[in-house]
Amino acid sequence: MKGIRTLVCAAVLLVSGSLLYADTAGPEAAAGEKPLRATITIHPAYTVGETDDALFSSFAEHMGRCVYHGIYEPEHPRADKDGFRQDVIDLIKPLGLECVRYPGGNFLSGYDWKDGIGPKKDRPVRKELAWRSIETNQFGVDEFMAWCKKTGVKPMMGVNLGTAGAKEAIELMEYCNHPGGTYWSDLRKANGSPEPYGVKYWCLGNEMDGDWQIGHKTASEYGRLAYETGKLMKLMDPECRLTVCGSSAYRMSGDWEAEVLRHTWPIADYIAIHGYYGVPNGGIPAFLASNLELEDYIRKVAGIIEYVRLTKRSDKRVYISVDEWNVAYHGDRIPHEDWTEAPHIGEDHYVFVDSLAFASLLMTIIRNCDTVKAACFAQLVNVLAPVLTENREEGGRSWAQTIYWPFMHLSQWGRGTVLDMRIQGDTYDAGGRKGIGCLDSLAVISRDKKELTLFAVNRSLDSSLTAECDLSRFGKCSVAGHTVLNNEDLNAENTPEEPDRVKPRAAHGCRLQDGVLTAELEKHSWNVIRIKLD
Amino acid sequence: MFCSLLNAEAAEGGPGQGPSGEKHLKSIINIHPAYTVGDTEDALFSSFIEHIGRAVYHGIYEPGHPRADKDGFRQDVIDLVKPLGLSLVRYPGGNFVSGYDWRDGIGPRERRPRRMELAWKSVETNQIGVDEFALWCKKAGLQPMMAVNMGSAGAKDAIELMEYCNHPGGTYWSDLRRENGSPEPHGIKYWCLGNEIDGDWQICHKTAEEYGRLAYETGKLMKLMDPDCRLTVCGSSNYAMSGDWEAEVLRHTYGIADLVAIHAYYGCHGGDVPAFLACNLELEDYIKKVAGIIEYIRHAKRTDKKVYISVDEWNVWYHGDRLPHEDWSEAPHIVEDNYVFVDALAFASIFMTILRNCDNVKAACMAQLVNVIAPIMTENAEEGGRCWVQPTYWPFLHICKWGRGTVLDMRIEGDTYDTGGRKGIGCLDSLAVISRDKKELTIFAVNRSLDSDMDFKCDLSSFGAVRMIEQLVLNSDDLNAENTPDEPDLVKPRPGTGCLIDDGHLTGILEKHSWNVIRISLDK
Repeated sequence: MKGIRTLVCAAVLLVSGSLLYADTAGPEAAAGEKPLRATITIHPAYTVGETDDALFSSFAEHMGRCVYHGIYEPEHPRADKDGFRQDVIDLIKPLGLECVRYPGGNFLSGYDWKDGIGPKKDRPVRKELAWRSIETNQFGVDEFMAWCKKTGVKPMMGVNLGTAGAKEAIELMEYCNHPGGTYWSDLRKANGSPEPYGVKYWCLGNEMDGDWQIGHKTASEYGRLAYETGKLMKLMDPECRLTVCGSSAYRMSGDWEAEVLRHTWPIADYIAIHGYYGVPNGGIPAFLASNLELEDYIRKVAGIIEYVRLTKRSDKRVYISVDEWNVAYHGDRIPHEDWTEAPHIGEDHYVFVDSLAFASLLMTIIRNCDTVKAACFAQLVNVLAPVLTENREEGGRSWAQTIYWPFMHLSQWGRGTVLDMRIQGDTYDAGGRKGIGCLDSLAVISRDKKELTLFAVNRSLDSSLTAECDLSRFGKCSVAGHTVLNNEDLNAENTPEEPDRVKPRAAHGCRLQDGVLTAELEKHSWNVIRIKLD
Repeated sequence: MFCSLLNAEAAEGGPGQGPSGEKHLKSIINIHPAYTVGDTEDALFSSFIEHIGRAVYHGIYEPGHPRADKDGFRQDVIDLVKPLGLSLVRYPGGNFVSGYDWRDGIGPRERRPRRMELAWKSVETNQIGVDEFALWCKKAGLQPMMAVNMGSAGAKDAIELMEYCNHPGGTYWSDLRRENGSPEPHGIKYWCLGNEIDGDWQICHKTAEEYGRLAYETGKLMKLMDPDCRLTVCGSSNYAMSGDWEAEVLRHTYGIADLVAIHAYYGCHGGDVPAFLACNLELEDYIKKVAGIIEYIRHAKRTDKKVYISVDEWNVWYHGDRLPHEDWSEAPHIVEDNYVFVDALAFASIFMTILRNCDNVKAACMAQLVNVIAPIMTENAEEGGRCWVQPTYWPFLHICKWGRGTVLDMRIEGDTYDTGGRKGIGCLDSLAVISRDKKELTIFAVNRSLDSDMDFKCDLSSFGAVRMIEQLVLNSDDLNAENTPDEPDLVKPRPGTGCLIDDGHLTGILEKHSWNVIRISLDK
C-alpha cells in the first residue's frame, strides 16, 4: 500500500464532514418515502465464468502491527508455542482464505529475506525505510510458513525487485521449494523445516511504478528485471504462478502495464493492480459506488492485456490479480513515532457503511472473474484490516471490524459459477457519475450446483428497495436463508467493548412464488439470499 | 480456385466429419431480451465504390449503355442497389484516394484532365467526380462517405473539399459548387482521413507518427469547419499489421477521431473450406484487439469520449482476376472476382460478426459495390450490357434488411469442429436481432457443416407471444455454383419450411452448408 501519510490528511478532512452530509443527501434523497425497485435478470446460460479460489485472499505485510502484535506476539496469553496468537487465528479461519500475500507491500522492496531465517537471536535489527520503523526480523519466511499451515492458508510470496534482484529471488525459491541436497534447501532443513513449503504463488516485486517505492524503476527497467527474474524462477519451478507489477492506482495505469507486459509476457501469469477507496467529495452516495471505478480499472487493464496478447499472437492468457484492495480513508487513530518497533500505523477503524462499499468492491472483483483470477484484500490484521488486536499490555483483546462480515459471506458462498446479471431499476447520480444503480448485486451458483446465492447491497441511504428476480429458468428452488448486515448508525463501529455492534442477522424479507423471488432490502443494507436449487 | 473448392468436400477435419450425412448435428440457441449487445448503427449497412477497374466506369456510370439515365448512370445497377437499403457508400477510394486531386473531377467534363493513376496503374478520365457521385447517391437513396487524400495531399485540400461539399454558399469553393450545378450543399457527414496509410503500397505511405500528426491537424480544421462531421482515422490495413499502429495514431488523433478504420478480407486458402467458413473468428479477434487498444488510449487520456471501429472495407476476396487487363488503360477488368455459393456463407458470417460487435463497431463498408469484388456485376454495353447479382448479394440484402435494431447477446451450445489451428468452431454461426419497432425478431444462421444437417432449438418463451413470419434458405448442392449473365438465378434464396414454433419453442433443421433467415413476429 502506498501514501499512508496522504491518506491521513485526507481522512481528517473527510471523516467528519462527509459522513454528516451523507445522512441528508443520499440516493433518492428527494423521494424518501417511495420504496425503490429493481428487477434482476439472471439465466443459467449467461455466465461470466468460474471463480478462482485465489480471489479470496489477503495480505500481511511487515508494517505497523500487522505481523508483530497482530499474528505474532509470543508474550500474549493466547500465543501458541510458536508465538502465534491463537485468538487471531480463530478469527481468521472462518474467512476461508486461500492465500496470504507476504511480506509486502512497500516493505518488500528493501527486504533481505536472509535477515529473517536462522536462530532468532542472531537476526539483525534493521532500519526499515518503507515505513520508517525498526524491523526486528523475529518473524521471517519460516515463521510465516508455519503460521500459514496453522491457519490453513497458502503463502503468496513477494520477491524484492527494489534493492535486490534475480539472484535473491531464486535463492529464496530454492530455500522454499526444493526438497533438499542443495545449499539453500539444506539450510531450510537445518533451520527446522525438513519438508519444502511448495509455494506456488510469487509476486515479482511491489508497486514498482511508484516513486515512493524503494528502488523504483521505469516500466522498461522493471519489465526487463521481472522478465529475467521470472525466467529463472520458471526454470527452477515450472509450476510457479508469477505476478508482475501493474500500476499502483488507476490514475497511474496505462502505459506502465503495456510496457511491462511487452517485456514479461512469456513469464507472467498475472498482472497486479491495487485499488483503495475512500469517501470522496461526492460523499457517501459516491463512496458506495467506488467499485465502479474499480470496474473501469479492471476493464482498462483487461483491454491492455488483450492488446499485448494479440500483438504477440499468443494463445496464452495473463490474468489480473487485484493483490491489494480495500476501503482506506479513516487515517491513524493512534499517533506513532518513526523508528519504533511495531508502531500503530494505518489502523483504520471501519464503520458500518464501509462494509457496504467493501462488499461492492469484492462483488466487482468476482463479477470480473473471467479476467481477474486472484485478489488480496489489504491487509489481514490491524493495518486496514478486518481483524484488530490490542497488544497484551493494552488488554490483549481481538475483534472483527465491520468489513469482516461481507468478506466472510462472499468467501463462503461466492465460489462457483458467476452469472452475468442484468439489473433494471432505480438509479442515482453522485460524484460525477450518472445512473448508479441503487441495487448492486452478484449471483453465484455453487460448485456443486445445489445452491444459488444472491448478494445485494441496497445503496440507498433513505429507502428500502424491492428486488424481483425471475428464477423460473433454474428449475425448482426454495429460499434457504436471508442474512442482513445493517445498522441505523452509518458510523457504527465494533470495539473491544462492543465487538458485536455490527454483526449479521437473519432476515425474512424474501418470498418465492411461481418461480419469482421478491426480496425486500432495507435501506443501506448488505444482503445474502441463499436459494436452494433442486 | 476450382480445384481448391472441389477438394474441400473431402477435406480432413471438416464439420460433421464422419459417415456423411447420417448423423444430425445439434445446437441450442440461448437468447433473452434482457441480454443485449447494443443497437445497430445505420452506418453498419454501407458499401464502397472506388475509382478502380470498372466500379465507377461501366459499373455505376456508362453513358452509352441503353439503360443509362440522362446523367449517364446505369438504372439497371441502381435497381439492384436500391433493395439493399444501404446507408452510406465510401468514395473515391481506397488506394486511389491517396493520389487523387478532387479538383480534377469538377467543372465542365471536357476540361477535366486525363491522369496516369498510380494506385491501379490505369488511366483516369475524371468524368465522374464529387458532384456526379453526390448525384448518384441521391438517385440510389444513400449518403456519401467521403475520403480525403492524406497521401499526396493534406489539410488544405481536405478543408477545401469540405467547403466545396458542405458550405451553403458565399465562399470561393461553395460558390464554385453552385456554378458547377449543385445549388444545395451535398451535406456530407462521414469523412475518412485517408486510406491504408500504414501500408508501404500506399501512395505517400506514412509512419504512424507522421500520419497521426497529419490526420489530427486535418481533422481539427474539418471539425472547425463542420462540427457535426464524423471523422474516421486510418487504423491498420489488416490484422497482421495492427497493434502499435492504432495505439500511436489514436494517441495523436483521439481528440478528433470518431471512428478508427480496420480492413478485413478473407479467402479460402489451401482448399480448406471448413477453415474458410470460420474466417470471421479472426475478424472477431481483430475487432476485440482494436477495441482493447481504443479502451487503453481512452483510459490513458482520461476521457469519456468513445472512439468506435469502422470496418470500412470488408469482404471475401481470393478468386483473382478472371479477365486479363493491361496497365494504363481506361476502366480495365481489375479484381472482378466471380463468387461461388460457399463464399456467401463466409460472407454472411463476416457480416454477422460485425453486427455482433455493434457496441464497438459503428460503421462498416462492404467492399465493393459493383464489379470489383462486388455483389453486383455488369457487362459493358458492347459486351452485352447485362447485369446480375453474385451469391454474396443475398446475405448482404437479408442482413441489411432485417439486421437493424437491437442485437441480442446469444449463447450457443452444440457441436463444434477443429480446423486451421482453431479449436471449438461452432457448427452453427448465428445472430439474433430485434427490429427497431420491437415487432420482429430475426434469427440469422449459417450451418457451417459441409456434411450434416443440424437440429436446432431456441427457447423463445421470454419474448412473449411469438409467431413465425417466414423462413428463407440460401443453399446449393454445388459449393462452387455461381451466377452468370446466362444463369443469373442459379444461387438464389428460397422459402424454407424446416422450422416451426410450438409453445414458445423454436425448433428446426438447418440444411448442411446453408444460410438461413428466420423471421419471427413479436407483435401481440
